[in-house]
Amino acid sequence: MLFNSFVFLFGFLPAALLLYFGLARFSGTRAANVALVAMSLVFYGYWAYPSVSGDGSTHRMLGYVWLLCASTTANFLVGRSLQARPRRWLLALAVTGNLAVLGYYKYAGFFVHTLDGVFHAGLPIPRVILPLAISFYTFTQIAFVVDAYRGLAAEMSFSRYALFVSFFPHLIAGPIVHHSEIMPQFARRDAKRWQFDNVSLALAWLSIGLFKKVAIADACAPLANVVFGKAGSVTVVEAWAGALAYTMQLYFDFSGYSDMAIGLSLLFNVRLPENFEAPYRAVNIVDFWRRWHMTLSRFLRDYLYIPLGGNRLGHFRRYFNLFATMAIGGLWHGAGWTFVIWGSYHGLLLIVCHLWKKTSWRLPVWSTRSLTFLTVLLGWVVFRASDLSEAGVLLGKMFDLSTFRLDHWKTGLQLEHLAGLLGLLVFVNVAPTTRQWIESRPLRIPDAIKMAFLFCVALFLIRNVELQFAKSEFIYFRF
Amino acid sequence: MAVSNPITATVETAAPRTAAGRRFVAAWCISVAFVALVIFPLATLFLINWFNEAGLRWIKEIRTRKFRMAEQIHSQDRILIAGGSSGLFGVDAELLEKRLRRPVVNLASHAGLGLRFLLEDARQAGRSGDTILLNIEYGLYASEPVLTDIERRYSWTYETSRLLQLPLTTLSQQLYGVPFADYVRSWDLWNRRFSGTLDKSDPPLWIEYPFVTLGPRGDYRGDIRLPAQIAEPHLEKAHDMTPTSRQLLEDFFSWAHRRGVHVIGTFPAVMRSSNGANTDRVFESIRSFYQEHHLTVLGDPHLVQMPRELFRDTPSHPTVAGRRLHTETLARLLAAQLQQPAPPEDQSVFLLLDPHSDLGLEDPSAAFRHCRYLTAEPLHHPYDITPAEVRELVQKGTPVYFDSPGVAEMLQPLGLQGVREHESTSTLADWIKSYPNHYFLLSVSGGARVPVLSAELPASFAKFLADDAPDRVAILGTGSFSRTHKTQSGIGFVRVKQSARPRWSHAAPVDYSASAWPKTEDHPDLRPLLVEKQPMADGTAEGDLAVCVVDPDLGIVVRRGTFHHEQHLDSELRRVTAQ
Repeated sequence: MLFNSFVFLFGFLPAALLLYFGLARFSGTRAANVALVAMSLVFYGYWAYPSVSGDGSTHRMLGYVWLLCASTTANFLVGRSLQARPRRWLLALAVTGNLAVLGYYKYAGFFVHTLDGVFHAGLPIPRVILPLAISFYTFTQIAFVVDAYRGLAAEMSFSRYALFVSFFPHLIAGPIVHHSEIMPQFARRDAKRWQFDNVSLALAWLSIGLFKKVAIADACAPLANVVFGKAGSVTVVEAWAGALAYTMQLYFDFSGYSDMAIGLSLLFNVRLPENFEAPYRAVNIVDFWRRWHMTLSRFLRDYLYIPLGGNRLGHFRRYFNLFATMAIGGLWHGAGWTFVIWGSYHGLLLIVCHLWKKTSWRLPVWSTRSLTFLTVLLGWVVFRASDLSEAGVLLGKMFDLSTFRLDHWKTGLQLEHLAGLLGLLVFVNVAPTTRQWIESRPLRIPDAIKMAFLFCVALFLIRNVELQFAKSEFIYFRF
Repeated sequence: MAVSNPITATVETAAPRTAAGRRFVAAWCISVAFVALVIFPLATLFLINWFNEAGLRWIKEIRTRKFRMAEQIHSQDRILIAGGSSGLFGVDAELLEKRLRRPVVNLASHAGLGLRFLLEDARQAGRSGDTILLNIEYGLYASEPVLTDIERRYSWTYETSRLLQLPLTTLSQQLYGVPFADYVRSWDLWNRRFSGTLDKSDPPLWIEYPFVTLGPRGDYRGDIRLPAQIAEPHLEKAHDMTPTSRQLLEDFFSWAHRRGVHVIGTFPAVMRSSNGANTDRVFESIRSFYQEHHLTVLGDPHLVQMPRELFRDTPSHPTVAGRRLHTETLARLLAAQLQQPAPPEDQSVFLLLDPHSDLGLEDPSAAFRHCRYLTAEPLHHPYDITPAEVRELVQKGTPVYFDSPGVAEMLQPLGLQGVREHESTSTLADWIKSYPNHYFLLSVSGGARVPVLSAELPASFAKFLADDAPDRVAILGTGSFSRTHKTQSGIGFVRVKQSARPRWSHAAPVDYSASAWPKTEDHPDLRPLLVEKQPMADGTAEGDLAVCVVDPDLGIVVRRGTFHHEQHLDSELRRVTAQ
């Protein structure tokens, strides 16, 4: 189920809280943890996905609960074994196994389609449903077995491990959590008590996150969709507006989801790592990746870039490692050449940035911020496009000044939309981050009223979706 | 590669802050509850209470008129036709009245209002002794508990009390289920109201079906532009009756039983599916529902499913010919149901051909009970007849009549012709005598002086006709309206805007306008006589007099036409003979 749904907010969540804290009080910590795992599996299994037959029907993700359970159990057993006796072959087997499962479900179709495109062999394209969140829980568990091999994973309680993997606030779209920062929190006794301080923070995170998602991201989506859908016929203004709309949609969608995840986990007295730190204020592309999807960056650094050699093997190898890491990071987002190109593009940008740093040339901060934002925005065009040709067409339109005009737009674009997008651009550049806003000072009653207002606005907009007056979907679920 | 440091946060319990946290949580919860339970419903009520929509005003206008028509009949044996627009367009109350010799009022309005609303209308108008003919559209037998889109908007705009009478669960569904588009539209309307660009009392008009063209018994008598295509009705996909529909109808049957109102169901006329889909199940489930409640539903499924040629703009809106054919069958079934003696046998056949929209009680064609729709190609329906079949009938000696000029053109290639058997004309003086308490809209455009031959004309009419100006218009009243005396000589217009009358609550003003601009290339759409901005008659021919008669009490146009050489051709009847 979606966080921004009534069934979640007023059904699942209260039930999960009651069960968790009730069992923690009357039956002990283990029972509460097991109950929360069970609830998380219900949350996972409740998810609906479209049928591969393309007939418009949907199925629940229930059929893939077994995959999540099997993956969790297998990785736990391997991790415990590696902790007892580190064996390289077992680690390799575990990592390969995880990647094989991910590869089959996520990349088999892409791989066969690419081969078929090259050799024209008429290969049948496998029609595999991508199990929800498989990228997230696979990466999380690879980190665990690697750390178990390194002797860095101390936790060996299966209930806590299962909860670490399946904990519903982060299960679907992250943040990509590290066992060392989460599993100890499940072990703490005071975490099983209802704590109003955490609940107040949680409500604030949840309210802001929900508002970002349903009031801002969903408002940007229609313009982005129509511009990308009509890429061939848009004007230069529409092309830029569509690209900007998607840039804002993606940020508010994902950061809103992350804020909600942080808020929801705080209700259970668990602190998830943050995923965003005002990314569109980055002064260069290195800075951008410090601020955007921070937990993915951390994972890629610790479990890909550094194992590849990091910056220890000379300049050329460093740049190669950067490029490879980002290209693979791009592929992690989705099985498609647009993602590979997008990742590679960012790899190149990182290389250029590092090379630039070696020179003595420096630009004013406003220009570096603008330039960084512009390069990121261009990257999002490739990221969003359904294929490379669409990306190429839209990028071409963005620089085709012959189509410039300020009226008679065919996409329904209005000057108000442009004003709104520019307002958002200013907002992301000057407004405090969610954490700064919530946790830099004590929360008081006026803050509660403001948060409640944001929450109610969000509820109103959720109502529109539930009653099918509007549409909504989290972008990062598909990754 | 540069990334952030791992976040190793833990959540400490901070005892001194607990009270602040508790206050925050309490304030948040109370605020959310207050907004959701108080502010939101109130804001919705305040913001969304009026929809400036032409369609809603149209519903209000026709309902107001129909209730007035029903009120004016004091007889104890009225027949009221209830339902949506398939009844408005598809049942001829005047003809039924003529056949059954009982007053009949067509209360049918708009199926979009939903079953609950339409049945409530029937309750509102029904009195002990009445017979209510339920001409319920097939889709309404599958109603859901929530209000329909149109019902909801209409209730918000004109009859908020209906909302308050809803069950609490349904009411809350309405309050919390208002579509987002309604908020946007209402916001825009409020902006326009505050900026002074919108007058609340003046929503636009729905020009597709002018409400002033209702007949005196509530039938729709206006013309409709016929589209090339009509969407398939897909009756075969109609669901079984829903619990909501059952409950609403059962409640209505109970009410009728208590009040001594007789209820009869009928199958509305509907366009036949072009793909031959099997619709038997739909009719059977409706029939068995009525039978369960010891009630009758009239109509033969194979007859009510009529061909496309007999429909106007939707699968539920029969043409005038379709209405006549459907009503004749309904009249026979009703007469049998009401145990009335059968009329004397008459084998004469009357041929129908659209357009034909002036059927009145005095029209001689109304005497024919056996009608057929003349069509060049067979439509494979009992209602149609081809010219070849007409020839066979004539050869067998069956009298066949028609009054539409198009019929003669279709029969001529087969060696058939129409011989005039009857013709009736009238003068302006006759009309004034027939309509003694009415408004007359008169116009002479681009013509010469109209000779005043009749000495019976009231002075105001005679003076207007005697005017020398080639172009002139007038709005003149008869009876209690005779003080209305607005004329204009030469090019110009006159206008009377009648305010709502106290005894006719909720009535909107009626706006009459007569203009004397000859139709030119610059003003091709300018018509001389308008009621509520609807063009009613156009008398631009040299010396012709265009006349439109309005019943100010009902707010409808009761007659309109053009007088040529002081004569109006009321009707003519031709008999088909071999050449």
